[in-house]
Amino acid sequence: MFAIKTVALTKKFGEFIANDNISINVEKGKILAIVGENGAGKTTLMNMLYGLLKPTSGEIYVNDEKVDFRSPADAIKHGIGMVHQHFKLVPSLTVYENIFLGNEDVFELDIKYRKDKVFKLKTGFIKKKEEKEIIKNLIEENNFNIDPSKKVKDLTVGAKQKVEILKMLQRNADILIFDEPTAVLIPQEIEEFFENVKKIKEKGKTIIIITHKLKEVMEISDNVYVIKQGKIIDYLKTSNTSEAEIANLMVGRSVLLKVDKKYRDLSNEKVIYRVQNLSTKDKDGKTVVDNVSFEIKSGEILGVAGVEGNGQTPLAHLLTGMMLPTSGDIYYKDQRITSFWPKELRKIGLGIIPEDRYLYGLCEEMSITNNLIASSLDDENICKRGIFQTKEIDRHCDNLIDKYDIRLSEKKGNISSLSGGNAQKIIIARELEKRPDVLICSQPTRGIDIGAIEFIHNSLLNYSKNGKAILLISSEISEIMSLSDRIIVMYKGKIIGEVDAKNTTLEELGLLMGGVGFGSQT
Amino acid sequence: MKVIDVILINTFIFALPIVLSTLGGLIAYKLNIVNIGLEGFMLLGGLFSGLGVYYTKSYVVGLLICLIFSGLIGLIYAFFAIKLKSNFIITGFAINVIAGALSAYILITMDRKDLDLNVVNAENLKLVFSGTENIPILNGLINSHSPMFFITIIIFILLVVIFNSTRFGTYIKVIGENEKAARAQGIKVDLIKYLALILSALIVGLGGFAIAVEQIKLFTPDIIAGTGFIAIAAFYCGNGKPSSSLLYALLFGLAKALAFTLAFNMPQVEGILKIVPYVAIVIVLTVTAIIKRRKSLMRGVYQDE
Repeated sequence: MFAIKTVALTKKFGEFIANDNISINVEKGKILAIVGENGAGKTTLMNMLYGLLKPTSGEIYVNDEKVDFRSPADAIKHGIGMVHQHFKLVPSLTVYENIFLGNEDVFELDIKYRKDKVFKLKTGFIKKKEEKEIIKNLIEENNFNIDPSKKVKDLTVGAKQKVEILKMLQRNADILIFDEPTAVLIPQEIEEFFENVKKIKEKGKTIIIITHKLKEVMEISDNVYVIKQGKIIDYLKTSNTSEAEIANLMVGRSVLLKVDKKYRDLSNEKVIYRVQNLSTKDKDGKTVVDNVSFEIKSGEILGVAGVEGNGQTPLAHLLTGMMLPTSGDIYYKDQRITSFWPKELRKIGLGIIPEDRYLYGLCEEMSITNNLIASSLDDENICKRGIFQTKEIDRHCDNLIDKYDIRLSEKKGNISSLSGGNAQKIIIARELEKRPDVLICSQPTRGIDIGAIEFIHNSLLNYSKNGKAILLISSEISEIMSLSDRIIVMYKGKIIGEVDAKNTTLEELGLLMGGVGFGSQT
Repeated sequence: MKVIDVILINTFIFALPIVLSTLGGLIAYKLNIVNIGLEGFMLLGGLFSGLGVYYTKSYVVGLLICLIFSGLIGLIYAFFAIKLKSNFIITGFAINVIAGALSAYILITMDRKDLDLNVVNAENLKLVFSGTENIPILNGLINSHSPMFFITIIIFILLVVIFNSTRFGTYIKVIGENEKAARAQGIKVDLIKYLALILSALIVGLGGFAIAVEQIKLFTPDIIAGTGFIAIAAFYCGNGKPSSSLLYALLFGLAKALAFTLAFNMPQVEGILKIVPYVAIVIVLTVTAIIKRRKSLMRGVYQDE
């Protein structure tokens, strides 16, 4: 008996076949990984299993029972729970309120009628104390270390994920689906997440993880389905395969899992970008960037490492003109550019790749073309006397789409029709095409697939080779280590240490990130 | 009576309809719907309660008729906003226009300029706690309130309870904050919206009742005079929280009372004093916006979070 079995499951969106004849068997009590490239159809498949999408054809069986889900509520009834990549939590509610949402424990009034018949009247008043107690116990049972009465908006991303997991456990889900669960987590949280998943598995639950991080597949799963262009290509036992083999199946060619960084001697290069004693506060008055100073030379990639939430985000906001400093200065080629607006920064030769691509990098509901030209509207070729030069724009965009290997599902579509990796490539294409001398780059590969990561890493390396400076802020240590020349580590808003990327070790960086400062000054 | 007592009593009188409209409006605001039709909702509430009172000469029957029709108007508004997915700003605006037109039309068909509602002697309904009439300030605070004053207090407490400890209130907040999450949890979003909007309309309608039957004792198409719009400012300033929205509503009531009292004493400049409450609103709105902005060094982010 399989926990979930699909037979010839197909989902079409108009002409586009997202899932083509997918038949999978999910073994009970095992951890199954489903891997595939951007837009391969992983999430579509899971959304059908969770009742969010209706299959065009094909059948789904849960514990050998044929099911026909009309909504997630039906799937939940059959013991299926799903944690989406973007959590479905309500920020202003507390942890326990979120867990019980839609399923509240309410006071009941017993109304006796006739002789011994009792009608239970649900009052609509929530048993807050009882709910909190239940969740407190559940949290202790799972060693989750979160406060049930804290509001969700005050939690870290890792803790939010735990709330989602608790929600499924509270509803006694037997089959747990995770969509890209580690995409938003920091290394420590990923470790913890794996521990928790293993514990859940020990309880006899079945787990499905959608991911593209092959290292994690190897570490946690029992079996792997590889999915490509909507089709299942292979079913492997994790213990009998390797990262390289899966990568090969997934992308259809071998992928360089390590970038090939050539270190150059930068001692003769000029300092092009300089930050001096920069500090700022958040809206609660807490100092979040504390006396930060650094320099970048032409041709250098400076990595900013650190556990997320140690000031990298406000630092990036300061450097890109989104936020004002309380003190300190920024210099570009000896010109003081503190508090310049993003437009002015771009004009003098800075490129900006923001951390949250949909919030600050792109306009999701506008066309790909409009997003690609967004920073060139002052260019006479693009916009002459306020009128778009459509022909030239089309040529320009086709060129970029080609050059940066952006894969479109529809040519004139909006950004929202693109996968994360391709959306990020739009930003990369737009920014690099302006040939900025300094590129401020935050989390350039967060939550995207390996094909796109590889492409973006190579684009950045090639770009720096032309004597351009790059500031790379990332919480992905491997990314920082493999791309940077020099690495500074942020801890509680300060720069706690600086190391040479060529000679450093993961241990050294790990200690710095944990706040133990002994970094060698270079 | 001391001046301060007069101002206090006037504050409560002017604030009462603002408070009712604010409390009703904030329910919709919690659903992420800014109902600019509050003015029209109030006028229709006043119209139907006026008709009820005029024909039956009964306070209670007038109240019931007001509630029935307000609920109906709420249902219509909800039907447009939810089922037909109309733009709620335009729908609200339409209600304002229709309310004015309908009031005028009904009066014309009745061949009257106004409805005299003095048939219910509202003065007799006012409550005075014996022995407190002569204590300054306290007299102003607790005495000579109409029944609607106490109904309002009950409604306020009910709303606080609904939002803090019931499923219905929680769902309203969740839908306003993240409708997708609410749907993913299997919450009946549309049903909750209908119920909340009808509840909202009922409370706003009572505001119209308070003005027409209890205060002016007369119905004409212009009795509401901007109260509904002031209410929008009140729940906006109060961030949709019942208690702080109530405070802002009282503040605006105070501004109106001050203007009224001053105008009573200085009839020469009456016209200019009429703008006092509105200037007060603009100042309060500006100050709250500046305070919100001050806390953040972020550029270009005007929304919370």
